[in-house]
Amino acid sequence: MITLQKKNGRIIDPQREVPCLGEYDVVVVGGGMAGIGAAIASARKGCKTLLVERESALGGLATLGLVNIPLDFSAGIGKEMLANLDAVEGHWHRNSDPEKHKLILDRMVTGAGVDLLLVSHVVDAIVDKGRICGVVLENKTGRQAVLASRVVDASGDADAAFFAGCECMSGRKSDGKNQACSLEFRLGGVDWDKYNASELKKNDPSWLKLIEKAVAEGDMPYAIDNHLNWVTHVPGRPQHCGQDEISMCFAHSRNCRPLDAKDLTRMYLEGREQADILWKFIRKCVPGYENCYLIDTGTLLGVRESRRVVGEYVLTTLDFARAQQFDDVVCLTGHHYDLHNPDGPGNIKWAAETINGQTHYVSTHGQYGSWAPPGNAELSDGFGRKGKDFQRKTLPSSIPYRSLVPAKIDGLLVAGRCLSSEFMAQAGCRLVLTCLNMGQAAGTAAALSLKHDIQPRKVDRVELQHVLLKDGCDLGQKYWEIPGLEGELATLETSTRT
Amino acid sequence: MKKYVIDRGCKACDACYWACPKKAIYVDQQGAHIEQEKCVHCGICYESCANEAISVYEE
Ligand SMILES: Cc1cc2nc3c(=O)[nH]c(=O)nc-3n(C[C@H](O)[C@H](O)[C@H](O)COP(=O)(O)OP(=O)(O)OC[C@H]3O[C@@H](n4cnc5c(N)ncnc54)[C@H](O)[C@@H]3O)c2cc1C
Ligand code: SF4
Ligand code: SF4
Repeated sequence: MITLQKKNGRIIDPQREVPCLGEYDVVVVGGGMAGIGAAIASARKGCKTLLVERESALGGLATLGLVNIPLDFSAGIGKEMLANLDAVEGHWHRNSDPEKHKLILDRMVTGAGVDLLLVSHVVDAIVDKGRICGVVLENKTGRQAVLASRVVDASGDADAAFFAGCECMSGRKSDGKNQACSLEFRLGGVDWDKYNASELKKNDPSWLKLIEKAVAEGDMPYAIDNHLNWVTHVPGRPQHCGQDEISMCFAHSRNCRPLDAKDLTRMYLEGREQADILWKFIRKCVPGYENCYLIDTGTLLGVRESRRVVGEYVLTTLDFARAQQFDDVVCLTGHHYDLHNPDGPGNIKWAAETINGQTHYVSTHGQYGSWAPPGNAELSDGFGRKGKDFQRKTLPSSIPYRSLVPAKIDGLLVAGRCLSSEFMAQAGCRLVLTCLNMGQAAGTAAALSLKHDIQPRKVDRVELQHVLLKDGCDLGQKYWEIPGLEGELATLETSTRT
Repeated sequence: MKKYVIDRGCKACDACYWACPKKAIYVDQQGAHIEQEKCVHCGICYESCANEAISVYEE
């Protein structure tokens, strides 16, 4: 209880004593893909680890957000997770069953010896002389503190890092607007075979023409989005009998402020209204969906980008396009710029960058997305080459360890979509398995820093990479040599992106 | 022998490009295509396509 005291229109929350839940080697904030990787890696290295998640299940966007396409390099803990999903018929064609996925994650996390605390929101950080030494959380029990030698912030929104006083970025440079958010939904009663064999799927797979027609004829009151982002078949259900279940990314909120509870509320309400419009339009207009019904919308809104911490290194937009090789690489991504238009429909797959004093519209693989650059300008590759000289990116982009280490605060690492990166670089570094792989690197680094009693920024990258390689991670050894690890690389099996 | 063909509404997401161990796939404005002479029929691309745009034909 606090006694009401007002000052300048604000309420005074006086200093208070809070019970301490415990003392841990490593506390991981957020149980999404990045948090899973970090907590499992840290516990397996012998650290007493606590994973704090504000929702009632693990997986973050990949389960509660219904983002059931775990894409990117499958290696280390990610590969193990997919194998576990395969074993329960929860994974097929890179589509996962969000419900089975939650259970697999519960088992993996508790099986690794992680202490798990669900329904607990981290609301503050405890800092001593520039070093984070714990977090404050709130849950049904009230307000509690947890002490930690190392904290990994995998909250997606860099909450813990922000509370600890780290410098953070959010949104695009020009106007601070974040990427569009999307509330996913699932439909049942779908004849998937019929849809898959349809002319629509073959000739207009993103439904561009269909949506234009629907808006013109009043089946959709406005173009919620100008294209279907994706639709996937949820595995492990009745199949080929007209009763399939699908998951869809189509709803699209604009001018989003995902760090503001009021605007999050607006987007949840809007997302549910959009799903209601969309499933009825789909039932009327899309072959195979004639008997479909809405199962649910995501528990978590699909926030693609919010806060990004400023780290020892800020991964740049051009690093990403050029597949810049970093000596301290800790994970890879094969993605491209994937920006969901902050203030209009559609997606944008190029970045306006200055190369040799000139503006270039840079793409990694030669695709525009929904919108061509201004004046229909030609696309350039990461080095400014155009036309017949344009070269698509043939090497994966690397994420350096320094992008997981906040510049200011000690004792802290970040992982997942809040990595230290420019806006458009983050637009290419946020796939499900990319985040998990970053988490594994951060959790392993936290353990090494404790083993040697040094700060995370001082961790020897060769030792970290050595451990990650032994644990099955992919550092691009198939593509390039990593200084200091030459001998070892030849003996290791390489991973695949499937 | 199984023949893999991208003919069911490719969305040019690039996933199969990275998955193919033989670099037998290229992506242009129309989407992804398999260069049949480079393909070793391993089926990895088929599994990697979350959009089920790749068909398998028995030859
Ligand atoms: C609409 C949409 C479509 C996408 N499509 C694809 C796709 O097709 N393929 C693909 O691979 N990727 C896709 N992505 C990207 C991918 O899903 C995410 O980037 C990735 O899952 C993020 O993982 P994360 O662990 O960094 O963050 P999150 O999944 O956001 O996890 C953060 C976790 O932390 C918890 N948390 C947050 N704040 C606190 C706090 N203060 N205290 C305690 N817990 C907290 C949250 O509840 C959550 O569980 C998509 C993303 C979106 C939004
Ligand atoms: S079947 Fe194998 S070799 Fe052929 S295109 Fe697909 S992944 Fe490449
Ligand atoms: S994975 Fe499928 S949708 Fe993506 S580029 Fe390949 S064929 Fe097209």
